[in-house]
Amino acid sequence: MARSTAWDWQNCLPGVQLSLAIPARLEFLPVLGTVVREYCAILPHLFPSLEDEDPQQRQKFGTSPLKLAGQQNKTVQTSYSHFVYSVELILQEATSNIIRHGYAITDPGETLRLRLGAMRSFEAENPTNQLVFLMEISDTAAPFDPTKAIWHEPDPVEPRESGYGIYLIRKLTDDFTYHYDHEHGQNILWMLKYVGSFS
Amino acid sequence: MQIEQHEIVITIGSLNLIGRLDGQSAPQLKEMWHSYEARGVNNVVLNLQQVDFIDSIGISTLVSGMKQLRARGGDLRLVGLQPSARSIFELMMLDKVFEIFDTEEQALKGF
Repeated sequence: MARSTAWDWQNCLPGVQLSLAIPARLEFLPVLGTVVREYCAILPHLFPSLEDEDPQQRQKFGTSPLKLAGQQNKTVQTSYSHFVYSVELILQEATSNIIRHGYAITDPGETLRLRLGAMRSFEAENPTNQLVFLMEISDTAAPFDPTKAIWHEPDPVEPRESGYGIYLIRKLTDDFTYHYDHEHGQNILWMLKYVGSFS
Repeated sequence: MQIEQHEIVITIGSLNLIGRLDGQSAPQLKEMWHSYEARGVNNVVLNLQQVDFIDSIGISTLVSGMKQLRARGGDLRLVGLQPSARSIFELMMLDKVFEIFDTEEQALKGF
């Protein structure tokens, strides 16, 4: 799925965005995991109270239960718990790569910034009844585009002993893009994953 | 008739992991692989029932241990992989690489 111009924090549903800054150290990744799990636990409960500018949509989103983990999703998820596990793994792989390779664990004073949120999916710039989960990670390490990094398909005959991180991010996300913010000297990773649909 | 009686004893290593198997904890498991090599233990049953999260470094450490044990004629068998972690194993086709069992009893059979 190509990134649409509609995928933007401005279109993030109000009142659900979470921002977090954590030390760029492997020791802190379980903290991130806990935050992500707790955030995903409350996410489905936030939607009945959300307001929408379009009264029809408000009614639709306000009264309908969120049907999680829709069939449309290309990934292996079969339940919301798999979705939550996948999201934690995506963020673990992305942040762990930045800490180990970007910062090379040389400076424990560095910080990773994360933004989590949710928005309705867009199709040809029109909102649909699909809910998507947004993830953004920014860091100030040397410019590096992980979406262009070499990755390998798994080989069950001769399994590799490393290099699974990018493969997992690619497989588990529905959108994985990168850009370098020259003005602020930041790598910005953007990842998106379908959550489910409003019935 | 002459009966020659021998008994062969095979040592099977049994590990029970609790918590997260990730880049932070994987070195502990690598130490175990070294320790087994030093003691000539070639067969290991690894219980993951209480492991709630495994990342790619954790998985790499499992693959590495399995390869070392198989190179010495043994194997690494996994027990109690949680459903979400199992779906990740399937995504990585590692369910075709590892022998995965529901219980330790099943894993110990046939060693």
